[in-house]
Amino acid sequence: MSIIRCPHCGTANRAGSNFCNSCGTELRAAPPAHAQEPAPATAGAEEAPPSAPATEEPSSPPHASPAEPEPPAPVGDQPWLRMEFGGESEVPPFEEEDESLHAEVARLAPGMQGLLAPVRIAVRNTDAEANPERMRPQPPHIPLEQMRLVRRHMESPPVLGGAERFWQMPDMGAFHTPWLYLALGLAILLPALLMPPWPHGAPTQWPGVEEAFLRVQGLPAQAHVTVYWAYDPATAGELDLAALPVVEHLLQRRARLSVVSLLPTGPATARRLIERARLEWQRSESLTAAAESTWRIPVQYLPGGAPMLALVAQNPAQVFAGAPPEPPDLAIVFGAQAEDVQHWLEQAAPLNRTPVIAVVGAGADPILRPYWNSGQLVGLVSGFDGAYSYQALLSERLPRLERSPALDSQLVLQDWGLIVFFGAIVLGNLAVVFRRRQEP
Amino acid sequence: MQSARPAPPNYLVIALAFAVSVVIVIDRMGVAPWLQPVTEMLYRWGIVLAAFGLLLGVLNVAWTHLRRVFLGESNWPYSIALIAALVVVLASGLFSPRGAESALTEWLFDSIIAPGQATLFALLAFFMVAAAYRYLRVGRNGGGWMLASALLLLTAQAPVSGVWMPPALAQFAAWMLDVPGMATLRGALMGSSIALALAAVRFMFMTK
Repeated sequence: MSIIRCPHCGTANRAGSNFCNSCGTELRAAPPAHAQEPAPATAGAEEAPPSAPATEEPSSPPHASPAEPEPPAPVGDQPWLRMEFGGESEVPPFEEEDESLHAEVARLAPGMQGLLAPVRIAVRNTDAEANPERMRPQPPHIPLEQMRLVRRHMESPPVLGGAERFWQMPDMGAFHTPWLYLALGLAILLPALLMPPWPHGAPTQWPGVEEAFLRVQGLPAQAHVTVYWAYDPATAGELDLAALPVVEHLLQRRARLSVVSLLPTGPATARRLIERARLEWQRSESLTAAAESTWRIPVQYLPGGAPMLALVAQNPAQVFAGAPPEPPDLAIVFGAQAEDVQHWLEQAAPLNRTPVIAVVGAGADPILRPYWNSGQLVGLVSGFDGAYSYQALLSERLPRLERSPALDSQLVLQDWGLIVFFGAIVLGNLAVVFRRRQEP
Repeated sequence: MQSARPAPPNYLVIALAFAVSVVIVIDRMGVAPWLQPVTEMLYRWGIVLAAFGLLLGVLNVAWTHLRRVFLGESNWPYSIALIAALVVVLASGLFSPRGAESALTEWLFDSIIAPGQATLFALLAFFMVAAAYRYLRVGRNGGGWMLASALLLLTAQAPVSGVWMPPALAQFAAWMLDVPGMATLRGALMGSSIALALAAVRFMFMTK
């Protein structure tokens, strides 16, 4: 019986084994140990046809000739792979290996075992039983240079296929970062303190703003408007500016607002902005206390996430006490992110078919623009540009409402911030160009 | 040696989830208006369950930090600060007739919560400028496209550029968003929606 030594752990395995019974190392590439240990006549030799003619053509298979020894099978003797294999009785008995076979053999990585504990089929790992000390894992002997190479690879970012160039950019280090932060901080702080009138500009009026204005302007008196308030103080710096003219316009149109928010701090944010809008409106129209009391605006917090918006659309009376059960005339989403508007369009809008206006941050504009193009949104007001344009329309057509001075200063600050952004991008690319020139 | 058998799936929960999803789907399709009271009831239950989950979360946080304090684990003073803030906010709402609109709650919101949230969010600008400096470069694979797109959209959306930017550039920026950008986004949304539906089916029916 021939055996095959595992080149990894040295365990003797039955010839023909594909994997080591001890450590799982693949044995198909390893030659059987015929040369080392003479084995009794193999089953393959016994099964060679005895009456094969000696004068067979040279092209005939070599095993057909009884005079020639049968060449070893590629993976050893595997009778169970033959068509005529009759079962376990034909498997040659495994011979216990000789103790002399425990001689030291070369190993690929001494002391290292396989990742998975192998399932023992027939072979007892006599090595481990006879000499447990020898089988104890030893620390791998890795050359220092190889260790440094591994460490360098582990420290560098992963390299995608064929993208080595991606990570061969010149190392900018952390030296420039404080200067960038300083430049941005100064670009925000100095204009905020000095209030320069430039660069102001006139933002582009993107499609959707005028349509939103006209939709609110066309609301009948006492129209029921559902407001989904989806931003909190974190983004109020941008969203308050965009929401304020819209809420002022709604109050001016005597719309009856019902506000719902899924954010714990959403109702408090909504109450503050509505109060600001009410004060502006009161100042411009000398609103009487009696008239004011008729527009007590309910602000409701709903736990449970976006699916609960379906209840707001399906039966508003379940959420707002005293709200009419019929669908509202208009729905407005004040959201910091595009997902907020998408949630309303998916969960609520299909149920009540109410036209929807989105008032969102500038970052959400690109994602929501196609919803506006497809008609799912009847108006889109985004970022400072949208706020500026809506406020301009409001001041132009309703001269009683003045343009907020905070909006002008915000526009100047935003321009300075964008100048720093442009500068950072240009500097980063210039660094690449100059570094390349320095390279040999 | 016999391995431990996995716990059998909770068929009652799976059946409930399946029944609720079927009811909601049929109601959303609009073919059975008589199901609307049932779905409204389910939504209300969802709100109650979510509120209960919120309460459980608060109790869990409180218990976790109380234990840290009692056991003297690392950074236990922070746990005391958290529990103190929790008690103050809870008490200011519970023991005031105005509830969540009490004077103390409003002061906490205006003086601590709102400035804190705004400050943390404002830090994003610094990270963004550092990221723009490091990664929007022409030398990277695809970096030229990213740089061109970023410059185009920044230019188009900057308030100051509204003065001098030709309308054609604004229209080109809008086209970039509407056609190639949106085609990619819609494809990703469609793929994720199908994946979500398949994951739901797998969750309900393929427990192993």
